[in-house]
Amino acid sequence: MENLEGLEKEKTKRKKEYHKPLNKKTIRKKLNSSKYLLILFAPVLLYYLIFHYVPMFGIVIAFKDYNLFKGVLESEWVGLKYFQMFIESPDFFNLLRNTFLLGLYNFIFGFPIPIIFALLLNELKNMYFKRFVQTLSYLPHFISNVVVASMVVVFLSPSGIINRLISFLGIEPLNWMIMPEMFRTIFVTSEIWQHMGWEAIIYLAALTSISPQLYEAAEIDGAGRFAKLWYITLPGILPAIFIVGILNIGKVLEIGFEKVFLLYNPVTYETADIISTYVYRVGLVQGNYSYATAIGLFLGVISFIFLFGANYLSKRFGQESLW
Amino acid sequence: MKKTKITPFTFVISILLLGVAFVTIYPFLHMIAVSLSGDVHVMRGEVNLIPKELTFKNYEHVLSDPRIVTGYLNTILYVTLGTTISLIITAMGAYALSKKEMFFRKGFMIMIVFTILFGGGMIPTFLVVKSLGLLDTIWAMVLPQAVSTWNLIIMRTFFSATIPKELEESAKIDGLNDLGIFARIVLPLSKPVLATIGLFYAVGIWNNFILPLLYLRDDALYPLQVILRNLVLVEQMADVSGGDAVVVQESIQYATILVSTLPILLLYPFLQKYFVKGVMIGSLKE
Amino acid sequence: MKKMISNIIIMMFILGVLAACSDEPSSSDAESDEERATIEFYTNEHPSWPTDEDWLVFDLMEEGGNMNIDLTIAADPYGESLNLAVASGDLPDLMRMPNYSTANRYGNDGALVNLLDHIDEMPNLQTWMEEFPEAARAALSHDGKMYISPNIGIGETNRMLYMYRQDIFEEHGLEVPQNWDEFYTVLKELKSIYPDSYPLGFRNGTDKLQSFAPNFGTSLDYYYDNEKDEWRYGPIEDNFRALVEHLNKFYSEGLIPSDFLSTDTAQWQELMSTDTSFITQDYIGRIDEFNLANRETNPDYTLINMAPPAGFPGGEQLAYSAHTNAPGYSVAVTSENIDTVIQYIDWTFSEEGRDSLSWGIEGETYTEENGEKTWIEDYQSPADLRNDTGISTYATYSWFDYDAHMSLFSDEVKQAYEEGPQYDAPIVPIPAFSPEEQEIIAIQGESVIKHRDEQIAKFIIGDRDLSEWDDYVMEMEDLGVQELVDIHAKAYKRMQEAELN
Repeated sequence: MENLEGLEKEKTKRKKEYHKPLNKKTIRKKLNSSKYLLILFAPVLLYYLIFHYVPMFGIVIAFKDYNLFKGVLESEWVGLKYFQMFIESPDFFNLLRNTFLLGLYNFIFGFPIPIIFALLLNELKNMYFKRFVQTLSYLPHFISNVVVASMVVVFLSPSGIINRLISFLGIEPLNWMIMPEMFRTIFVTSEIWQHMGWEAIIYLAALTSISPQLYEAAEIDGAGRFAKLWYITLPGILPAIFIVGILNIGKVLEIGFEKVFLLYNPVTYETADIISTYVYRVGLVQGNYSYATAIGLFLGVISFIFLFGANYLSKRFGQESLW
Repeated sequence: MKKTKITPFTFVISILLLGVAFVTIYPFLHMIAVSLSGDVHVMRGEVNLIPKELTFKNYEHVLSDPRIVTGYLNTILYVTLGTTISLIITAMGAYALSKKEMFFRKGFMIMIVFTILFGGGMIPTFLVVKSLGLLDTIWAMVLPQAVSTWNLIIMRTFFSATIPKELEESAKIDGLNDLGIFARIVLPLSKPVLATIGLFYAVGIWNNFILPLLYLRDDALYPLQVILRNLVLVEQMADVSGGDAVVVQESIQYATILVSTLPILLLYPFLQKYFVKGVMIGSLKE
Repeated sequence: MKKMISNIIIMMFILGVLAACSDEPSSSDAESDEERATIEFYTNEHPSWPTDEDWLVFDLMEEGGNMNIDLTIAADPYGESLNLAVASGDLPDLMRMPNYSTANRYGNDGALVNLLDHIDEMPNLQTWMEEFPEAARAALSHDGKMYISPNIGIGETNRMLYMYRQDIFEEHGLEVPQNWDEFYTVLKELKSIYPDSYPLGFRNGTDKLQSFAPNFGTSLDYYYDNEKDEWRYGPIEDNFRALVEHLNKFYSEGLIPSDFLSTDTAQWQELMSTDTSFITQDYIGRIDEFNLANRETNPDYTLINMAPPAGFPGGEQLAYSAHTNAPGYSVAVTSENIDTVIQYIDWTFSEEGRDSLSWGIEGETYTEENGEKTWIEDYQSPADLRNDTGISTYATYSWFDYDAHMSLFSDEVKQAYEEGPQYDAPIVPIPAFSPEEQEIIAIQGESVIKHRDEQIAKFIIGDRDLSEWDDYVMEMEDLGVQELVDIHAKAYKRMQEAELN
């Protein structure tokens, strides 16, 4: 407890420091006092400068008619033409809505399940059983989307295992793959199936950092299973939860095209066709890099707002934040 | 090991998790069964979890491909080298970023997060890698994706959440600078997160087919994934199957997938020993 | 780099002197090897026959082009590998281009040599173009340049046709349908004999309408109507509606799989191998593939070609013409060896080049008797031939003698090849578009395709009633179909008017 108070004081102190006007002297002082940290950080900085910031000049092709052979600089400027083309496309609103909804559902269900899974695993006392389940659960992560998609299609076929199961329960078999209203459910479920165990690893690692002494102390105080979960375990992994959550919100619009591409068909386009599949069909297949880049930039701006908002809210609630 | 009593609660959880385990292992069992079955049965879709007309010919076929051996060696080399470099750089950077007093920290963080959402794209990155002379070298497999922003941020969060402040302060009093603290205190205390991020990097490099696709031309340098992808994915994603293309049977595809994934699968059970609760506190007490 | 370039120039000089001195075609190999120019050859490979650098076909190419080949097998997706090669400015001398439109795009960007600029050095190509003007025109860009070499012969490998289970038909005394009404009747009969079956099975979902539409004298896409001499868009025509009505009936009566929209290759193979489907439409090579595999357990299994049913009773029986092949050679403008490469490409259009690249070496790989060639080695299939020699693998031919493959097929496939061509619908020409047109086709055209696929699929499965067909046609017109048709017509006209030399 004492420590916590100390920490609070430290925090307020630092906050004050932060609001001090930055003059050259304080900058130099800060620079000097964190020189070893900067040495540690140098390789990462270098990496980002070379492999991310130098190539970033490529973004300008969104405003140019990119000529591969002549290069980025020599290509002709076209201004906002490609942005306009995208926004005026008859499919624009539908694509944006589908992308957002698919990403949102994927976040709402895909984000908490690995946490719950990790917490359940944590409740297991038998180490061998725990490791066994843990190991098996991460296997699907290693199966390529192509194979996963073909399995999903087989499971959900009119005579597939799912239909046999539900007809056992007295429900009429469904033709799942051609039901637009089912697409998001199918996609999100298969994502969870594929990545639940893998994504739980972070939380499992976070769980290891909780001191067993805390549990022992709580037990002495007579805390039950749920009290311990609520007051010790959850707060212990909260920083990881918040950070993963913020990062995932930033990725809501970035659903890879591959799996959707493999699972959709014309009848489910109305819910399944998303921006990345559209870009794949228009941009990459035809080599329209400028158009694809313009769309990417458009999405990036929206994602940035999401990420920024999530980070701001997290900070407001006194939780972990990215910066 | 102390005996634990089985409460109804544990029982329910165990059943639930067993269900999860079954559902998640199913695809593997299915792939194993198909890869061990005769062609006709595979073609007819008769194989589910038990091989029909047991045969090892698919594995013989896959393993007799001379490219598999070079692929393995290359992949192992890339994974070892790449994971080491990535882990070291990431841990160093993450630690620096976890220190609130670091100069320009917020600016650096925003700069890093920015790259999640905006990038120059494939061609400009390629041109940079090319101008650095990395094409067709091992480094092309290691450097262009050496740091994953996601991993970096996760690691930073762990460092700031789990390394006790007092420990660092007392170390400072003992005359250690930040480098010393990082090497002597932070790293030994962070085995679970190092194991986790190491696993993420290793798996990422193992499964990466984009880097070799972009940056390697010399097939002596090809990792396993390129070979796997040629055999399994290309045919289904792009329509290269012209009229008389031989359809690659599912059984061979699955055998290839299994042969090329098994080694990396074994990494996790091995790393699990670093996930034991209380490792950190134990070392603290010493 | 500079040194290399100067070396190459010296080499070329020596080569030129040598060529001037002696016209002997076969001066001893070891010597000439030293003086030959080395050509960077950039291509990709098919996963079914991975490249072996020792393949005979590369020796044949080196010999024919009097050059050394420095081979690069690019990774797939090949289109992206090519984009990188072009973007890096480091172009290989000789490239395989996957299709005409890619070549035209790079050509417009200024990366590729216009072969017609060198036509004076290409006597064989000239003669060839006189013989096959249509194939030659297909390779022209919108402004009449030739950035990619044309080809003929190998396209036969992509021939598609209907296939049916002859053994099942005979067993039950069923007649092969002549038109889609009879088609419906025979499917119904099969369904009543095998209630759990879906007598017509196919893969690729609505894309398969590409193959069905020509039966009704229309197309799933823009097409050129030879009789009326105009371009039209198939999927909004009444004939197309008739096709959709049939398929809607098939679907509702369980004559095609209820999950036909998501049927992939593996599932389709399952349909065909479990007596679930008895009629299909696919590549000709599948005949042998299914027969060989299934005869292991069912010796009677016989899948053979079926004449295409006419869309309307008494109508002409027309089949989709898929037997074309678009890839060809392109030459980089930055190449130091343009002359050598041009000379090689020209050679592939000579009869000598054709025989060499289709059959190999007389006496070593094939023998000729009474004008008929036969392989010496006992190849089981073209796949065998490819894996052994590399002949007819990607970018190793321009003018291919398809008899080289034909001689390796089973009797069933040979029969299919004999009977197939009489039903060929006219091949829909692929005109070359200007970059502006290409952009409209890519972006506006994509909305058209999407709406078409979505609505056609809904009509078939009954999600949308066919009484709304006229509304659908209006929707398609609102998306700008007419503009796209006009672009095709304009581009086609340019193509017809282009000069070939």
